[in-house]
Amino acid sequence: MITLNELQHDTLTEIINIGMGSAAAAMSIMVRDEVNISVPDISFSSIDTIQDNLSGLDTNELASVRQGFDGELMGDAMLLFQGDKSLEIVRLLLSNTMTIDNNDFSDFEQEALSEIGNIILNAGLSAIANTLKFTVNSSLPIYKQGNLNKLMAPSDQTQTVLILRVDLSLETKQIKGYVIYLMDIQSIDLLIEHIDRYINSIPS
Amino acid sequence: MHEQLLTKIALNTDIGIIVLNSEKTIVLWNKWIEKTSRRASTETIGKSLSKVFPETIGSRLDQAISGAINSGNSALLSSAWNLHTLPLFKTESTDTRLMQSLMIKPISFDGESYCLLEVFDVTNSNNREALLREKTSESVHALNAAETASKTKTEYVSTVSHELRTPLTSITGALGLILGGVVGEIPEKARGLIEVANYNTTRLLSIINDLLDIEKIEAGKMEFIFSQVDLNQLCSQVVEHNQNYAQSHNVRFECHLNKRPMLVSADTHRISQVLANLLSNAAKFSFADHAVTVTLNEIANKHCRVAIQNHGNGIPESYQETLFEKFTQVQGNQSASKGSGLGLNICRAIINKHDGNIGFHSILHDTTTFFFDLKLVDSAN
Repeated sequence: MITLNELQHDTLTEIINIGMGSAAAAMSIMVRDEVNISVPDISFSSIDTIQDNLSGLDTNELASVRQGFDGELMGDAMLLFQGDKSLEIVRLLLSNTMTIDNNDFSDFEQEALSEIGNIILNAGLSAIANTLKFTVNSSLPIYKQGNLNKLMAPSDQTQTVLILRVDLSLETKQIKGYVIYLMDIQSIDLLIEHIDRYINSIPS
Repeated sequence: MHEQLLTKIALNTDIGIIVLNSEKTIVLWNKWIEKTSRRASTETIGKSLSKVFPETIGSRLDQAISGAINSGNSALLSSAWNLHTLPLFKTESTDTRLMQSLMIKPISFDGESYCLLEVFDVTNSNNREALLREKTSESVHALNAAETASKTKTEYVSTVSHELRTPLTSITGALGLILGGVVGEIPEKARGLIEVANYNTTRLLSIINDLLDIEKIEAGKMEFIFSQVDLNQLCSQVVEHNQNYAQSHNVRFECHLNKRPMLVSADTHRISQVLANLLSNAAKFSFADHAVTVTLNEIANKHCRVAIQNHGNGIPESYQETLFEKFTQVQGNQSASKGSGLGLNICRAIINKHDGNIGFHSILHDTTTFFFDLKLVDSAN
């Protein structure tokens, strides 16, 4: 399994946190209220053990926003929330207490959550791409809900996963979610190489 | 040729398409956008988007376009937060703004970065959803109001029933004592009137008890004390206690007990209540001078069936489906005496609490049989 040394780990966490800061700022403007997003922890996992690394989430009932990316780094980025929590986020952000169905998302709410996912996922990708000097193009977000197996594509089986724990706080609510990047081993190696290059470029 | 065809498709497609170059200058403006923005492509191509639509300067759209051109990010501007991102209109003649969702995609071509904007009209779907939301909200409010009203009414009925029961019990007791001769001989003329008063207060008390029972059942507060009971014994006791009632309806109760003990786990008081209710119904709706029979049999799966059969007009088919529902009463029956319409509903709730089964079969102008089945227990247990 891929591991990062302490310096690499801290650097990547810091870069992603800068990205999440800009995502939170964008969302705060959107909802005219304070939104905070932080990434307290990152780790690598194989696809087989991903479930063990998503502590606090019931992987049978997830809501996800997924978008692909290509360029020098290739893979898919996914935002995962507990199914019912994601409804809560949309309701809080839209200041909308009335939903059509209590257990399901309407098209409107799906699109709203896709936009939130898009902001968070693009923020993470842009921070990595801009700081570590990559060219990365992202595709449009796709909303899906269901258990973890249903959310994964068959091609994901060979991928390595970079997992970010994301804490989103809105008003008085704290909502825990995960961002995962599914990448092949060449992309992961390239990412680590660029992290090292970035660390070396910082004047001591 | 191929390129020209693709351009023609983009120009004529039924979604809005705008293409910007890396300077955010408009390079493609399709017909849909021309129509909804009321600006011809000849007016817009070659100009920057911010010049054509100054309201987009510094907006999320502007940021998303920069993200696409500079960082290769695709973005979605949903109608949830960006209902009227671009000043587009629903029709040429009205000023109704078009509700829209936008997709912003980076495109690389010949070493140049472009940004593709796709604009979707979501006016109709948003309006439909808003209407559905409003209707859902109305029905939720109506449901809450109905639930509150129903709760208040139940509480009111319960309070009134409790208040009525106490004085009514005293009246019934007093009338019973008078009829029993405690205060001496009653003049014949008065006896008839006191008997009517006694009969009706007893009936009223029974209706009030039914109302209180239903309230307890619905609140899940009816308590059951289970013990091992021989149904032979229980049936014979209940039949014996109700013989006077049978006589008052000119029928007789006949009990065909089983030779073997019929042991069940039951609440004696509540099963007696079911039996008394089924017996009183059978007597009330029986032809005069006929027997109402109570039989006990062992049936399949180690269950015991208690069946109460009468001869009478029977239950019309139109009532059969709802007979165990609250306040169902067969109209036009010869019986003048009406109950609360809750008795069978209470019986079903009690039998359900015993994991039993209750039912009936009826032949018009012939026999009607009500039965309930309870699981037999092994005497060794």
